[in-house]
Amino acid sequence: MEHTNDKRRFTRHTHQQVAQTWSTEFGENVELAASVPPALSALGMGQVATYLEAHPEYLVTALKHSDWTIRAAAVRTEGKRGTSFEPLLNALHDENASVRAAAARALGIRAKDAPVEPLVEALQDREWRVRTAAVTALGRLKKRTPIEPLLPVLHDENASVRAAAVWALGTLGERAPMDSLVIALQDKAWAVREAAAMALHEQGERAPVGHLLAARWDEDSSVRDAVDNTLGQRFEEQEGMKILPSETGWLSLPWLRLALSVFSVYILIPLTSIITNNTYIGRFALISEVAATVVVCIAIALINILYQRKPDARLSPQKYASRKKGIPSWHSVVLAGISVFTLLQIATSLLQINFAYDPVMTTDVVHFILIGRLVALGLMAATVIVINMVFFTKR
Amino acid sequence: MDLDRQEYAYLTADQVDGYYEQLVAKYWQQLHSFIQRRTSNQQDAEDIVQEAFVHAYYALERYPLQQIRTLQARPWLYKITWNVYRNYMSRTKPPLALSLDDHDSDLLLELDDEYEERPDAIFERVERRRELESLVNELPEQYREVINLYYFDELSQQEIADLLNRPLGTIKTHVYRGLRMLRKALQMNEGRSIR
Repeated sequence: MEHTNDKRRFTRHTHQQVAQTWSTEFGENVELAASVPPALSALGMGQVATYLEAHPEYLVTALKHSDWTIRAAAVRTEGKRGTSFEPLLNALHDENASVRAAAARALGIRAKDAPVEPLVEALQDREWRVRTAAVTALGRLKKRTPIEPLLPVLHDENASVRAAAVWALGTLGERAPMDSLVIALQDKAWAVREAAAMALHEQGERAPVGHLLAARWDEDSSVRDAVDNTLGQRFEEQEGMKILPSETGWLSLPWLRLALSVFSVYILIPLTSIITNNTYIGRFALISEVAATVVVCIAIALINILYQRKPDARLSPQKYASRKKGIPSWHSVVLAGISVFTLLQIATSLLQINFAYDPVMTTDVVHFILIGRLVALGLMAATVIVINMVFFTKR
Repeated sequence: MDLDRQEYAYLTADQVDGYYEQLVAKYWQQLHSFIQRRTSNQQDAEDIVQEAFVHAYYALERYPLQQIRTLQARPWLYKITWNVYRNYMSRTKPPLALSLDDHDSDLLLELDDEYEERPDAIFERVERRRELESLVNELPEQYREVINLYYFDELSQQEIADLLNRPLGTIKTHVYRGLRMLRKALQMNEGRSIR
């Protein structure tokens, strides 16, 4: 039965009572606790624990003591001594949550041969402290850690329990359920998201870079730091490697990206003919043609930026990947070659002076047409440069 | 063995306990005052800080060594405590404004250190602080919290930004505007008392 102690306030008054009881029962002048903050006694720490470590002969009595702070300290000490599992397993059913949590933690300390089943049962405890301790202890079992019971814990109502579950699953290496870790990056609690970023660090190459990069924009600074640490570590350790495109990225195949870029450059040639082939019918018409060219150029540039976008586009390549400067890939060279060729073709047709439009064409009009064409040429050149930059920097 | 894995090194259980004990010794009182200023109930404050510390302990257990080495304990603990406080308040009642009465013990503690100061000067300073706190309480909520954290809890602007998950620029603006409002309110108060 859950005792009301679970909700008891851990006041200094309680500590003084403990001190009094302790002194009376053991006849020792133990200066306990008036100055020990309750945050220590709740975890079985403080002077009671120190005393028991020095006097293990009192452990058996202390494990049965009526005061839970003494029982918690005794369980903690017993766990460290590592003599028997029995007191710890009994303590897992103690009426007080702090004692049960101390028992779960003690089993985690003795992870080598600690029994799994009682810890799995403790995952159903009503107190978050006990569930967190049980999850953490299960995570310490490493090869013996059971995955199935930990998966539902990822949806626990308490953030500490969820974070501990993410950590425990993260320690499992290849057995770790990657999808669950990635989903945890979206958890509403920063502690869980931070734990997920750290857990993905332990996955090495298996961790999806794209999701980590997206998490670099997390609203919480601790999460961002953990993600940066994971990404930084990974790419520092792989000198010379560039960031791999995410499987979910747009146009992840290089040849498909090249095809889009080449098509984008080539489509500018028919666009040129709009300006060069039409008969001059007035200034407004030419201005409209140049404006249309502006719209088409922007559209082409945007299509390239958006469709060649990958999650890794947010990562500064200089920071995380060592790039071989000056040695572009053959794809980039092909695109650059095609771009130069196309631009030359466009320039030739735009700047060719064959104005046989109208016999009454004046010098002013010719100059106006030339300026319009130069503007169009500038726009197309800028578009080609953008296409090349997008292709080069986002490879 | 999985060669790609980059396993973390962790603190031993004893090391976690030792580090945790240091944190409790160093920050318990600070965090207690931090929460006590926001709640009207001494017991609530104690519960909140205790729960925050237990959360911190479990986090330390799973934090890798390198994380603990670079951990800025103070803002980290404030953040955890702040989250526990907000959860606690959302479960129980709406956040309370700065409580004046519950500070008496804090103020008296401060007085202990200043026994050489003249009593009238001390009284004036305490009165001044009370007046300031009551004016801070009248600020709009977004400025009130930031001013409280900045001046009474002595957190840096960056720490406040991290705590509240707001951009640093917003915090700077709120501190600036909050101070301007406070100054105006102080001047009006002084004007009233002179009359």
